[in-house]
Amino acid sequence: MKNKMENFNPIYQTLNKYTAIYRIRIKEINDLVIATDSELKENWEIKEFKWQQKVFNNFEKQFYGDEKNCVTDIEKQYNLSLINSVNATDDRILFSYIDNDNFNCDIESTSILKNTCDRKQAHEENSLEEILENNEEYDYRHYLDEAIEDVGTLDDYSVMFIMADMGEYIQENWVKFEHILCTLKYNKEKNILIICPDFSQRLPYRLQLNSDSIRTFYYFIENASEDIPEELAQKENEIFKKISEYRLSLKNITLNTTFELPSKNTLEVHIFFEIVSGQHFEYDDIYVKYFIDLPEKWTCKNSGLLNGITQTCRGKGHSNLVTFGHVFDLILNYDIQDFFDKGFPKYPYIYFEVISRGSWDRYRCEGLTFKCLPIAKPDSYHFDLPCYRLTDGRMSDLRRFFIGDCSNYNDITWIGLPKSVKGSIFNKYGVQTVGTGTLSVRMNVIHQSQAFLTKYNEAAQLARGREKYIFDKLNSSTLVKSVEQVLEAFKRARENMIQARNT
Amino acid sequence: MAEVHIIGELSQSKDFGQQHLFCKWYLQIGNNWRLLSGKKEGQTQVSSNEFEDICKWSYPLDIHLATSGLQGWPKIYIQVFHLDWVGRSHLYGYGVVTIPTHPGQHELDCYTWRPVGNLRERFVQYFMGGGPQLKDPHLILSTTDRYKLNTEAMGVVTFKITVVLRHFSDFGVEY
Repeated sequence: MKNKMENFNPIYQTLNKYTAIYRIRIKEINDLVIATDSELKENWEIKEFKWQQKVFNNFEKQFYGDEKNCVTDIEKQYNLSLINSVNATDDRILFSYIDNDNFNCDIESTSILKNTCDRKQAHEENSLEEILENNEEYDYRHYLDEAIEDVGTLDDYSVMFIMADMGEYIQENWVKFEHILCTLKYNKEKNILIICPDFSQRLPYRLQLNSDSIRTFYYFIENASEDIPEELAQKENEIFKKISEYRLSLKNITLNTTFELPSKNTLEVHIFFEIVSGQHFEYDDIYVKYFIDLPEKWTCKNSGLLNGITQTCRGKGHSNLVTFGHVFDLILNYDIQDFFDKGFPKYPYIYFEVISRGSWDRYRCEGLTFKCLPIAKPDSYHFDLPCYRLTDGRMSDLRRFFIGDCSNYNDITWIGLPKSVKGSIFNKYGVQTVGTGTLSVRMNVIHQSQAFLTKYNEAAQLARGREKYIFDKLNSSTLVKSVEQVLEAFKRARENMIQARNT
Repeated sequence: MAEVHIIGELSQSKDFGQQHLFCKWYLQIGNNWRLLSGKKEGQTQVSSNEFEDICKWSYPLDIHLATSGLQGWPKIYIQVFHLDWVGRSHLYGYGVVTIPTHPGQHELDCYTWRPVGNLRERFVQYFMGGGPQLKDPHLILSTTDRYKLNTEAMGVVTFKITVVLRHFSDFGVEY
């Protein structure tokens, strides 16, 4: 058996403090090596403590036994309980201090300090090999735990100390020499019970006292609480369930509408746009015009939001930073049926034109850029879009300077993938451009569709988190089935209607 | 009904070119949203920094919202003010951020701006302080009337926000 020293890691457990019982076994064994088996197994002093159960030590028995010493209510109460109890002094060394006793925490901390000192001394005595084995000069967790325990909120705790008194009689008088075996703290607010040191596992804790002669004690701390009967535990769970349901219903009352769902067979893509800022544009006083191009099968209820203009902003600083903070919310609807016809949707694009407004209202194009809307995967996106502008030689530059060259293009979609282009090659040869600044935009994309409801696809529920790409998800066979079911139901209803009209 | 937790801080401002700044913030949510706990608006302390062009606020945000729809996703709009040596406060910027729809930790930069007047007004503002302000701060959020505004770029306000979403998947929402 190795010298298992005190390991002061407190344990945080949600024990019920009222039902918890702690059993302490202690014995003085001077040398483990020469101790016989019977010595190790027999004659342990065993005592069970309940939460806040007062056990008197010899000194207290003497002190509180005398009525003259008792002034306060608690002391009188102790006096009464001592008189009523039968046995007088005995040689038991285990006792407890409870919350009422105002046992000072300082003593506790010094005693812990002493223990750690002891440990250090023990290290010195150990052979080199053992030191190498117990090489824990700086144990991060140990210090972390100490720091956690040593918070300034100790006064919120109700405490209980399980103590040992190794004193002795010197001419009729008990000279106490007490020592902490175990500290129990309960924080009512946070519902935390701290027991320090932890319940001993296989090995006992060692307590070495350096008085006249070195005395060594070994002790176990055990959890002797009875388990809650199953019935009660079940009942408790039920109550917890009811409480949470009640809380949920309270919330529902504050918001007494059901969650909005999109119509069947549509995928709603909510995009929360933010045109954030721009940098490195040539002129001051810049604004941004934007336009969203929706392909087939995509619709937007509020189509007025598909294009817009930000405010005019004067740039600042070395990089001519312009800030917009222009937010707009878009709801795009996509017909899922199209997805099953074609297998892959066309993506909507957003086009930006950055324009500067000079003196005498000369509007100059500062940059064009576009972005394919990232609808495939819901996420929060941030893009820095590089811009360029079109130019056409010296005449064009002069015109830009003197008159302004805003909107000098026929079709803004040309900068992206124009629809008008036929053939296998999209040729941009012969067009001169000048690179300008960058435009920062943020997009928050979120999807909603009845197809994602768990009642339609349990399989998707299982695969949740893995298939993040929405079109993978839409492809899941269960979903196809569900859509087909919807269509069938629709067909049946129409037939019924036709029949009803015919008859 | 789904829930959103917004936990984090209004961290700091930078590049405003002035110290002694404070910030008022407001939470903007749609009609189908309810505030379950936390505050809807607030104001930071006045902060200054001797060495850098940064004001640290570390103002805590902890908002719990319930919703019955995705429309009107929460946004925070802010007004930054500068407190000068005689105790007057001057507008130093408007800004808005959308709360991210993706759960997790986010560091958001809110780029602010403020309205500028004509040349004469700017001249007065240079010596006397003050300057034009928005009559209705909701213009910060509007998209349609913005083009009438003349503004100048101001500093950057940083948010550190953690978003927690609950029950959204029950309503077919993918986030």
